Amino acid sequence: MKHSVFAFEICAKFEPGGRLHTELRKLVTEAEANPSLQAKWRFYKRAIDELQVAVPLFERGCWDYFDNDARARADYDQWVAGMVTEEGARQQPSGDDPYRGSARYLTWTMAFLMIEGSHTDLAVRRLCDFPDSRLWHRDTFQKILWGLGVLNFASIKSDVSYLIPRDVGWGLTVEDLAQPKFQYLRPLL
Amino acid sequence: MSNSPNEPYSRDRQVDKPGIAGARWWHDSLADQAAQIARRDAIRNILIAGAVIAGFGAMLTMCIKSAATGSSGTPGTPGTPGTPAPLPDDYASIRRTSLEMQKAYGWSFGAIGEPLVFDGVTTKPFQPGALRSLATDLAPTQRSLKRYFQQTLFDSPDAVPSALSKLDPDEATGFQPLAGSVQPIFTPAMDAAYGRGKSLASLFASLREKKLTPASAKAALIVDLPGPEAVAFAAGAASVFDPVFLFDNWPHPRGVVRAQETLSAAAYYQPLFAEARRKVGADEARPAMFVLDRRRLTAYTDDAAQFDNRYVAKLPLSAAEMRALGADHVLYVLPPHTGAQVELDDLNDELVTYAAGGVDVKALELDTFAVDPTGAAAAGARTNESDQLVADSGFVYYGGTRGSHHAFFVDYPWAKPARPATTRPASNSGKTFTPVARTTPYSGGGTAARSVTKTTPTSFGTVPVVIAVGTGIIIGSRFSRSGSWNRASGSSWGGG
Repeated sequence: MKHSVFAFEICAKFEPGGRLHTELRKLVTEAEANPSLQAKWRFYKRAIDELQVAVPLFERGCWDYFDNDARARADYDQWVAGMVTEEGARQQPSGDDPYRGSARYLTWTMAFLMIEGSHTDLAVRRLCDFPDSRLWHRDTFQKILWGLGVLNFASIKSDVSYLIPRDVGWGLTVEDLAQPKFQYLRPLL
Repeated sequence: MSNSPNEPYSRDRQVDKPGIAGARWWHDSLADQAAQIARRDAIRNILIAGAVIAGFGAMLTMCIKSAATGSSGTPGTPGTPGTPAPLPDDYASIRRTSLEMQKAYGWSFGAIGEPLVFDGVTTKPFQPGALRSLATDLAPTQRSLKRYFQQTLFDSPDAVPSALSKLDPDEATGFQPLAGSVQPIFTPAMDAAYGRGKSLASLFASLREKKLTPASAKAALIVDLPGPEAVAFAAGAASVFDPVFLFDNWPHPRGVVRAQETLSAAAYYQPLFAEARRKVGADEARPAMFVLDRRRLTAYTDDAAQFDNRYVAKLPLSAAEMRALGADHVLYVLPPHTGAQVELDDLNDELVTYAAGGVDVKALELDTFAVDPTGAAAAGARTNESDQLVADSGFVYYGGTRGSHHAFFVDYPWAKPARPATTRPASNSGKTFTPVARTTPYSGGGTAARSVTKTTPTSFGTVPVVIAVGTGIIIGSRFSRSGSWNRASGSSWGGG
């Protein structure tokens, strides 16, 4: 069994009490421990629906797809490590009144370890076929979101999703995003 | 990492902190497949090495075949009895309520063309067309009882599936309405139950001799017998009691509850029920007789070989409801020689609640009623309804003798006996029955306010179905004989 990986992360303006954070937080904190395939699909459908509405808020992002088995597994592990080590999350609050200070940001990350050669893998591969010149365009991210309905969890071996921050008052700051660890998040055109 | 087919994912990592919230999940069966492949490869490598060393080419072939057919006993491999083939990527298996699936896709959902099994088929002339009026002929006459009547089973013969055309064609071809498969049955057990129903009815009818009515005893029956006998008993007693059938399922060729026999018994006695309805007025107060199929909780073990058409009884929920129906007393009617005299689990909450609310709950094993061989000779002229009912029962008496018959209202002192009893039944533990709260998969073990939705085990009364993952549309039954998803290839296991 060989694998492929698809990962998608966006960094968006964090509007405390705004719909994007409220809905993503609700989604991720109330996620089922043992979901069915259909429930899994619904989970990401809801996430994607919210993200599509919030595309204008996207400031940075990253996505990638690899169909090399070793690379896919290693890459997926890295995305998981981003959650487990809490590397991108703040360890201290950044304040709960962003309107009086600098902007705050949130990130949403989702990654899928797929069965290489499955219908889902092939569909995602086609979905990610963009010319290099378009890789970091906001509308590319939007098109990917539109196309993610092709995900069939019968052939997805593992998935990870996480939201930074969970709580208002813990949003990422401009200074946070300037750190080297966030360089993989490319400014969107 | 094993889960039910309905929950194929497991969450193994979770972070829930102010700065970050998220989780990782694994698809159990895919992860298991990977492990299987690793084991299979390891076995193959060992065997190849052994073959090279020893030159046992034939043995290599046999062992690889053994590994490839899952002989290691790994769960979920095709060839294991009762285990379905893996589904294609685009399909998934989930569970849906059995009755809903039957209503949408036909009574024989997943088993079109398979025959129903009947015990006790009779040659009695039978008009399938009359089945259409079952729900009318067998409905209670009193308005207060209609809300409890479950006519589900009686609606099944001519039901038209609402969504059959949406199934995969393999799943829908050949569907025939149930009415064409129903055969009338009649068994000795039904005959005995019918006589006992008549005999019990005679005792309540005898109250008229004291210028009372059967309703004066303020009693309701809960008849909990195997379906055909329950119907037969109700038919025998229907001239005195108002039957309230609680058959809340449909037959199925693989049904764990053989509802087709209950339906057939209903068809057999249908003219008697219709006759009883004609003779009584809609406003005539008659004691309620709730009629249950005791097989409703039959053990269910195998999704592939059985269809889970079980259900739970839906009785009045409180003592106040029972009293509103004119019942200060409840008589729980059990099959002969039941021994323990413990009600079925799904009735425990209700019976305990009735008792806690002041309703007197007692039990009656049907073998307490038996034929007196001397009855026919000793009986005088059949001058009244009660005597006629006893004669029609085949001279079945409470306690098994003519002299003990009217001791019924001595043992169950809900009315003054119409006639004296010269003897008493040798034994009857039912008269001292008291329901005791217990926690079971179907009962909560207390007397708190009840919900209409009863406690049931996980997956109770459900059937696995195949859906298209992308749309959620139901394709067919998971264990259909015709579904393409069950056509396993013996060499494709493990995803290799």
